[in-house]
Amino acid sequence: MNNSYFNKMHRFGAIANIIGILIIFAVPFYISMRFGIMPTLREMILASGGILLIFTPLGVAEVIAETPIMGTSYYLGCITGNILNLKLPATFNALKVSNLRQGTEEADAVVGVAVVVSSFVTLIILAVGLILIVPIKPALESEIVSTATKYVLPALFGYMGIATFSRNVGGGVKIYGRSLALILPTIICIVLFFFIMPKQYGLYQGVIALVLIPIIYISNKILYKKGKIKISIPSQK
Amino acid sequence: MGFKEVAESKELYIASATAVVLVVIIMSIYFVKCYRHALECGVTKEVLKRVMKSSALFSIIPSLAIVTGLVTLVAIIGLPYAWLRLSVIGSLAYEIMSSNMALEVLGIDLAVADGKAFGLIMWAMCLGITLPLILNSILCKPVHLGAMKLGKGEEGYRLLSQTTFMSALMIALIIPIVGGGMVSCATLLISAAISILISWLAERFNAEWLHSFNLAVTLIGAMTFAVILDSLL
Repeated sequence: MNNSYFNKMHRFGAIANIIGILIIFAVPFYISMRFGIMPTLREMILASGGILLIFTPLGVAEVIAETPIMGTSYYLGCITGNILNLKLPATFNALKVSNLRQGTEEADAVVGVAVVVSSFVTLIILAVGLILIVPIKPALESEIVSTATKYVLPALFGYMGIATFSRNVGGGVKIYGRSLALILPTIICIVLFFFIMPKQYGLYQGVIALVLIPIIYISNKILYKKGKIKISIPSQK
Repeated sequence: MGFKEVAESKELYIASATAVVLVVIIMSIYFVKCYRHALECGVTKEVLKRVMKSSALFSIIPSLAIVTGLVTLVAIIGLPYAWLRLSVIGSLAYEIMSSNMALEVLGIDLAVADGKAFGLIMWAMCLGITLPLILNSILCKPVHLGAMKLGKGEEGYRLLSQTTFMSALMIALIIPIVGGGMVSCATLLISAAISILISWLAERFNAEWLHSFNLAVTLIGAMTFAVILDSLL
């Protein structure tokens, strides 16, 4: 595999990420200086400590669980935000529409294009929302809209579930019987969500996904060796 | 200076707009790099056009949901900063949670808060997400390239191993949706059913173009169903 593309994109992504952090810090810094409202270090630590404690382990878990799916576009996903409700679906959709195999250079580049386009649409809609917030506020607060927005994730995840669990994994490759490897992880999640930690589950989703990775990996390995999982690969394009 | 005066100040509008423009520049460079490389790899312009059209179409509805979040966030941190936070780095869930946590920890009452309280909220929201972002820059490459080496050796096994991450993430994320009530679960199932139907139609009638509309149509169909079912229950 030629890794020069991936190396190049990772370098660019990491630099872009750091610039993103600087941009996001520049705004409170400028405003605090301009208005003379700079908090002390102690106040900052006190205000952000709880948020840091919750989001740091989650952030690490999400990098490990989501990066292999989004590839080098993960950096851009982090800079523009809304990974779960926009960037991940954009990734799944791009792989499905292009029928490319995940993990290849072309799939990585196509996913990058999809993530940028999706981010642009959000930026444009948010900018329009910013300008029209007064006239559109009653509509946005209407019962129909608030009900509909409550169900965006279930509506997205039905599609993403099919894209993930179908036997066609892109590029004409078909994997038969891999749902067997998903039985144990599904039971674990059901037990955790319904019986052990229903209230905390949402906070630890990234960590739970991390725990499931080795379980699925080992199950796949055992079932593949036993011939329970079969793979059909078409001749290369 | 009062909380609202700073939160709605001209300076904050200009700073936020500048930040968004800089991110747009980064996005544009990203786009050019990815688009060019896709072409070099042999992906046709036709496929890229289909991917772009499809991404743009489906993104409209989740983005509208973010705008409804903008309304909520504006009540806490004012328009310009809410716009910036939702346009760059943040996610709707994080921004609403972190701004509320900052208010709670600092014991701020928005009705009587001063400009310093706004400064503190801005810093708290920034710092809370910093460490994960720094770790991204460090971890993303080894995680990505390491995952690609999984199952190395045999092509079939390698491809199977690559599905591990998607499967793990999806199972962890889908279970709370299934357990999130009848409407949530039914919406998930209807979404899956619509998606399967569109894929079947595309293959049955050899209509590749239908794949481009799959996610957008699925999203609209499933959310319409959710609104109807929710009103009936």
